[in-house]
Amino acid sequence: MFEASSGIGMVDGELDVFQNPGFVSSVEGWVAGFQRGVEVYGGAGDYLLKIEDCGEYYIAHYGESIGKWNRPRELSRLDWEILLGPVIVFALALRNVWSLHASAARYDQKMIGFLGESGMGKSTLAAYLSQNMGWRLVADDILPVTGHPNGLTAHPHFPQLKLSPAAQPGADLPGHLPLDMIFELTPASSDVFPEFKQLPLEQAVRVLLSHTAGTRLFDDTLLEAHLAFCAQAVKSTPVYQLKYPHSRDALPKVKDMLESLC
Amino acid sequence: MLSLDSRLRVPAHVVFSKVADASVLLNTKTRKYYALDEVGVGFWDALNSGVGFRKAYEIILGDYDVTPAQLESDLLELVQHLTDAGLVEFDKE
Repeated sequence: MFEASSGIGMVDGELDVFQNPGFVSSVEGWVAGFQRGVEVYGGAGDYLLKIEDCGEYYIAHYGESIGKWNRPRELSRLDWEILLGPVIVFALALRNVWSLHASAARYDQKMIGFLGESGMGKSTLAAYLSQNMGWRLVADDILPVTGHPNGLTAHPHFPQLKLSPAAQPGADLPGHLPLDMIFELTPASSDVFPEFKQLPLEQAVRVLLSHTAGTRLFDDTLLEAHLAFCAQAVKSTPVYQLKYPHSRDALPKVKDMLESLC
Repeated sequence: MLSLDSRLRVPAHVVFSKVADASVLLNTKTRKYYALDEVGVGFWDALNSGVGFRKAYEIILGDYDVTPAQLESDLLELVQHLTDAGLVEFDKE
């Protein structure tokens, strides 16, 4: 489902969005290294993302395929970055796969997702954990998940754009794995001992809502589906707040704490 | 002026989802999320069932240990917040 070659750059026939384009949203966001304006147009399951200074990218048939409109013979590096960034995140959402802004690591058959804004230490923590015996890095920045009544399933094959192709952590993991718990990372002053607490469901929903990538591009239908997903997800998957000082000294204590939960 | 006899309705651009005793509301126009506590959810459910503001007030009054004056004051304040957030509108029909 997430192979870069499948479904990219292939579309048959005309897309309805180009016959009857309907404006969906317009946002400014961090795309491919710069703040850029993004306009979304949609119609009958097809979408067009117009990205400032980059071009137009389509999502066809409710996310079955994505590509660059009026595509050149060869996609540039920038095109790939956009296709494997906002475009695929949007396409997956159309298929009820929600891309958490998260790193993830696995210990003793349990997968833990770490949510947080950039700079909150989620990559650092997951990378640190993976250097320890029994731990395995799963995702560095984006973790796509699907919900079902019994829990969440993560898709570790999603390309992690901040890592080189050779360093993709999920490449040799199964395509689908359960996501057992989620931690929202919160900074603390250096004198605080790492601590965590399970969040009440309403707060847990807010955490998932605010740490899903691409939501600013969503139309009303996707926003509604996303809210339903978050409300369902927290019923089966515990969400914790993890408070710890962002120093190397704190990481071993966090590791011990997490291992005791697994 | 807002009163228990004001006619209220939930506009189509509002989505809500229950989570245990609370619920999360989304205004898809502003893309902002809001939370309601247990009492707020009871009021919201009553309002959504089409019973009207005063009837919703009476339902909650029967369910909770609160004085009529206090509940009326709390609900008027809640509805003011909801209308400010675009989650509830006055029905002019």
